[in-house]
Amino acid sequence: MWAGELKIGGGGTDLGTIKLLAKEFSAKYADIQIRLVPNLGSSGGVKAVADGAINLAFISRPLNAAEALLGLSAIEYARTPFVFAVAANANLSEITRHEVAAIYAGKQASWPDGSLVRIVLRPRNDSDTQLLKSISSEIRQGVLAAESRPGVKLALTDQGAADDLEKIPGAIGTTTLALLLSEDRRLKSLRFDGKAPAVGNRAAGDYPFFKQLFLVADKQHIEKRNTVAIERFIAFVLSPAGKKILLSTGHLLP
Amino acid sequence: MASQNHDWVLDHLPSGNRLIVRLCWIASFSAIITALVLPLGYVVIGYQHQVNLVETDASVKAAALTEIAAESPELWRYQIQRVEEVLQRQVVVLEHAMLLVYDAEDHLLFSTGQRPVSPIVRRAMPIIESGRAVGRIEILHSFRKELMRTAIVALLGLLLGGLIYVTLRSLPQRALRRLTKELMEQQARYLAAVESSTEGYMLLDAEGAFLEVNAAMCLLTGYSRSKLTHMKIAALEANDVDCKFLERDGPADNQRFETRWEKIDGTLIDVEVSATYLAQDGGRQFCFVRDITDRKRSEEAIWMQANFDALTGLPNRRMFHDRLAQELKKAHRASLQAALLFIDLDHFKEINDTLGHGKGDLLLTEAARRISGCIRETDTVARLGGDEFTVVLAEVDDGGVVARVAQNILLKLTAPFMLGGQIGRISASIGIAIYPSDASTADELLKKADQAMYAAKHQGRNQYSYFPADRRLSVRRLSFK
Repeated sequence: MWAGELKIGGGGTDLGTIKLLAKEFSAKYADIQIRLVPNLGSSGGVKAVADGAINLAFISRPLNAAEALLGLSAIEYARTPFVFAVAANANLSEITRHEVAAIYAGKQASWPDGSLVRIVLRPRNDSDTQLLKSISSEIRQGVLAAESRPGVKLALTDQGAADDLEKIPGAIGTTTLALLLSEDRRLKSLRFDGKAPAVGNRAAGDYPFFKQLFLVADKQHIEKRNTVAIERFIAFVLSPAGKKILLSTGHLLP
Repeated sequence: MASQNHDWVLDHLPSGNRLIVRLCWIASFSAIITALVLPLGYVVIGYQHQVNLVETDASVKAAALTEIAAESPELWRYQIQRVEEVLQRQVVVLEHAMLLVYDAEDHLLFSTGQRPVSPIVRRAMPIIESGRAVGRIEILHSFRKELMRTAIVALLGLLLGGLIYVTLRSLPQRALRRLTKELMEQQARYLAAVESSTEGYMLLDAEGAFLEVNAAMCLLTGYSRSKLTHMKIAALEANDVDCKFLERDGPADNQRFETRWEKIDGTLIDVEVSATYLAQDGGRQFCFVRDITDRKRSEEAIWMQANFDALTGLPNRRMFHDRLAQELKKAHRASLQAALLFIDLDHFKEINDTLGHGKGDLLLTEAARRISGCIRETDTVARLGGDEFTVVLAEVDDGGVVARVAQNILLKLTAPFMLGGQIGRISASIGIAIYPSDASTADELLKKADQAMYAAKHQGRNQYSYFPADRRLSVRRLSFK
């Protein structure tokens, strides 16, 4: 099983991109079967790799202190803008941090056109929520208020959040530019404080919020077992072919 | 009397001292039950409620985890976010609960919350995937808060129990004391009424022994109270018959009857008794007794006046007719004869006229005595009035008896009468009629006897004559005069 199969799992942030990469990789290496395991999340992916349940994890945050002690190897393969998104047909294109704080705090309950604002929250310990709370203390207070407000939609996965943003009228939430582009979502990212979450802008240093993306493998497994498939996949991601895919799907290369 | 009242209340009210003791027990029991049941009930219900909450929470979360396991059978344990979200769901309100998720090999996969303080309610539900348990969720919840609440409830239970005790103990006791006081007052009134009554009062037990008597009863019988309360009613009964006090027809029997008692000095008195049966303590007779001796004497006197001749003491005409009718009936039933002797004193008017009515009355009295001495006890002598007497001879089966009686009477009456120092001489004419040969009715028989008596008179007096006079050789004249 191990020799010809590569089991990859992790968070949903870059799942769409990983699928594109896996497709290209499989075309190139027909002898290696890639099996994608969705919805593990960053933490679950890291734990699954540590337990040997999967071979490679793709996560959207650096390893934490406890995970770092597990003897894992993490390679940052790209970054992608962390964005506020609404439905593609929404009559909204930008938002300020004060508006975000007011929306999450429940102070702004409707959009300019009069329709209701509906927040899509992520779990408290999710990297999206952590990043959102770190933007400003005002936003942090707003998010805390939203978390304790009954009836606010909570999406457990990145894909679930994107689905909710597409389906729920007047919905607003967080996601990544990579997810929007790689999964061809009917969503649009909003300019934040006048800055557009474009990769080019990141290069200019305008857009301030990004999520780091890592590939995680178990060093021991790499040492003890046949690591050809893992090494080949990592090499492919970092190869020009891989970079091309990453750049076309809202990633910034390290 | 007051102490007697008190004793009576205690003896006759089971609700007296004993009731107070019982009330104390009931109050204590109720208080203890309340003090125990309230917290026990609360803790049992509270515990069951907590168990239900924990079971519900575990059940709902196990179902959610089962869904995750179904979607990803091999890697469900790595879906940390989803599992943690399930664990954080607030299905029911469980403060300070600890949730643990184990895999099938009993390895701990997830845990949330701190281990709760004991005592702990612990419930586990399996996580099922394709019909097999791939793990379990276990929820631990402290029961200490409920116990603390139970302590408060126990305190309230104690207070409530105390309140119930005080209420149950004091209120009925107050009512009982009031009731006892009223009863004692009633008893005092009753005893005063009974004691002051001119009628005798007695309470008898089922054996007829005196339990209570009043002063009038002592006066009536001549016995002291202490003596009576050691006697039985039968000891007073003068009549040698079954004691009516012991005759019972039913539990609610009231009876009124007359009887005759013998007083301590041997005097006989007639009494009227009103007895009420009380079905308590094996049966009681509650009686009032009235001395009716004088009334009975009056009634007897009236009866005597109505039925007897005041001078001679013999039955008068009224009584004679009754007796004659009875004897004829008896003779008819026995198919025997009866004879009626109609006696008229000869020359009595001369005695009255010469010696005076006083002497005449003496003669009549002596004549009555002499006639009575000639007959059997079963026969009847009556004075119809004036100097006319009758004799009814019952159940005559031998015609010779009648003639012997008539002859004897004639003989006795011709003997001289000593009338207060003077001597009176008379004779008698006797008419005899026989039932049923001479007459079938009393009136007719009397009439025939009267006719026969006149026949005897006409034939020279001092003789008897049968009816009809010409049919028999009926006229007998005393040859010695």
